[in-house]
Amino acid sequence: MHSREIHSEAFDWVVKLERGLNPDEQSLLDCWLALDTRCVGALARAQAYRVYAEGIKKFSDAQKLQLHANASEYSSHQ
Amino acid sequence: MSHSRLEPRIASSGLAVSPVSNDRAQWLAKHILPLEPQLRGWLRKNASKSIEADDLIQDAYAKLATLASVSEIERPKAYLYQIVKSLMTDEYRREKIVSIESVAEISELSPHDETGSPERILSGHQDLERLFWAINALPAPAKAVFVLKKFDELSQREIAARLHISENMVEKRMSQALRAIADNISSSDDEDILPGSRLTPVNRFFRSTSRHA
Repeated sequence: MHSREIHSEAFDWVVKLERGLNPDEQSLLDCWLALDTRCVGALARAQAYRVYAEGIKKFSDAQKLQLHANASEYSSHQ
Repeated sequence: MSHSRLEPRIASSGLAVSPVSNDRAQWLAKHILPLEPQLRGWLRKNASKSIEADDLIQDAYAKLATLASVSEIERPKAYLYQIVKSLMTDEYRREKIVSIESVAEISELSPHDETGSPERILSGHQDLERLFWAINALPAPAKAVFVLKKFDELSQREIAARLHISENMVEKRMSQALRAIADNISSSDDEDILPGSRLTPVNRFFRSTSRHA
């Protein structure tokens, strides 16, 4: 496996972990982690970036407004 | 750029591995993530071409993830570089491309020169600014999902309904968003940044000005 592929899959798992895994997904994750030590590291790293991204909650009101305006504009065109 | 290794390395311990605890993720986010850009720069200078930085960094995180405890680690930077140098030594021995003398020299390498280019250890405020620009630089679809989830705290189902996409697509875009943020935050200034993680001009401008602020 290429490290970029592992990197990408690690973030998919982090998103799934956040909403909770079903038993099939849990087995898949266990297998994936056992594939290669890099998977273990990539997942921990992705989990750390998820924590880091929670910093969004500390943004200033101006920053929040700007991002929010972008998101609203996008969703109104969908 | 060298090729990532294709042969898997399986942890020899045989221990079951799982995602890290929230505490460990917090510790990694606080102490290790900010060191990544300079570590990438350091590797480019000090590691042989055969070493792929992404492989090595994933392996280093694996070591940090599987430590029983990190509470004894007083100097995370020194500890990280110790792990990295040990992984480099293992890799050179495995490849038999480097003489024993060179392997010995690895231990002489010092971590990123303290007096050299400024470190990316930023204050909390600068950290938040960087995060803001990384989020701001996201492609619109990923950005919308990220903002609806993190600001509005909408559920995946609500986001899917709002954007007229499947829940599966919501997860995909959320994953893309986090990945792009990570790529942006972790890349070093002098790196050939991979497509998709390239800094926007405004972001690069911000970086170059903020560090002298």
